[in-house]
Amino acid sequence: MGLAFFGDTIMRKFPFLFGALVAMAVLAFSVSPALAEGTGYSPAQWRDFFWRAINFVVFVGLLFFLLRKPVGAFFRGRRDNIARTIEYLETQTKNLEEQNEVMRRQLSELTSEREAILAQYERDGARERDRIVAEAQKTADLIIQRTEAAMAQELVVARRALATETGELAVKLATELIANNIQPEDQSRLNHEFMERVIRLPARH
Amino acid sequence: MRGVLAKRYAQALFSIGLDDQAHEAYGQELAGFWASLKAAGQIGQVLSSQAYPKEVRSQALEAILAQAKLARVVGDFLRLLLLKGRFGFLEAIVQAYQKLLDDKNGLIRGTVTTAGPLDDSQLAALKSALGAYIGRRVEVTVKSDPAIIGGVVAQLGDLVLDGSLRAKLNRLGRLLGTT
Repeated sequence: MGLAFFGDTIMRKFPFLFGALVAMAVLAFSVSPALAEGTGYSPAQWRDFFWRAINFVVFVGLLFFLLRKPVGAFFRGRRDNIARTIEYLETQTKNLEEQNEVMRRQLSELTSEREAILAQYERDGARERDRIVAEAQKTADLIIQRTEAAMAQELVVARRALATETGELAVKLATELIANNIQPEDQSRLNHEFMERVIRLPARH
Repeated sequence: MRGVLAKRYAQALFSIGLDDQAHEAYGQELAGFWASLKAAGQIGQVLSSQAYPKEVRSQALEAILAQAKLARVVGDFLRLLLLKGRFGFLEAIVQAYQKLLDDKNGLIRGTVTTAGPLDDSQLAALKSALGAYIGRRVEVTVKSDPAIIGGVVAQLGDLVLDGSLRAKLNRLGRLLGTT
């Protein structure tokens, strides 16, 4: 019964194969010595060949019949699996693209933020630089002022010291000169001048 | 402190002298006693020193007073000084008394310093000029000091009139030093 079902199925689903089988069977039964003459093979060899060929075809058909569903199911499953994988990968790709977009946006924002921070730093740096420069300038001005004041003071002191020294020297020379040359009549004249001055003074009482 | 106390003691004796109309005599006796004591040397130190017993100093003073024949008031004054332990102030008291006496007599004493000699006529003229200026009779001690180079320096009490060449040169030096 199975064989009949198998033959029926082959005859319905694979008419070409069935036709080939029948043709080869007919050829196997009809190989005659005259047909085989001049080929170099005997009729028995030709029949053996045809039977082997029928056997091979039947074997192939059996394999196809038996393995068709599981192999098909395997490949279908594999195809579905691959499709799912592709779908998963597409989803992942999409997610990653979205993430990539987000990160790119964030990166862009970071870039702008970084630029803002850098700009702020630059502004702060410029302000700090200006402050330091102004402070240094102020300090330098102060130092210059103090130095100038100190120089002026030193100049005054030196000038005063020089004048004092000059005065002392002049007085010393004058003293020596007068002391060496003063005469009694000079003394008398000086005494008289003193008395004249006292006389000219307004009375104290 | 010493000057203030000396002045008070002198003032006290001078007041009594005025009452007795003997302030000139008391002044002369006090000054003479001090001059004698100073000339005697060690005895003055004995009377002034607290190291000697008061009795010893008192006996010594009495012995001197017996020889000196001073007015009773002056003798009592000296005894009081010894009693109060102020005998060491005697020199300052004499000077203070002399000042009181000079003030009373319209006299001021001072010093005139010159570089060269001052003859009598010049001295008289100078005293006259100073007296006219200060309004009192002037008695001066004349000193010679070549350091003043020339001119006169007169000191009358707290008043100093410096007409010396040294002062003029010093003023000139200060003037040159400030220019």
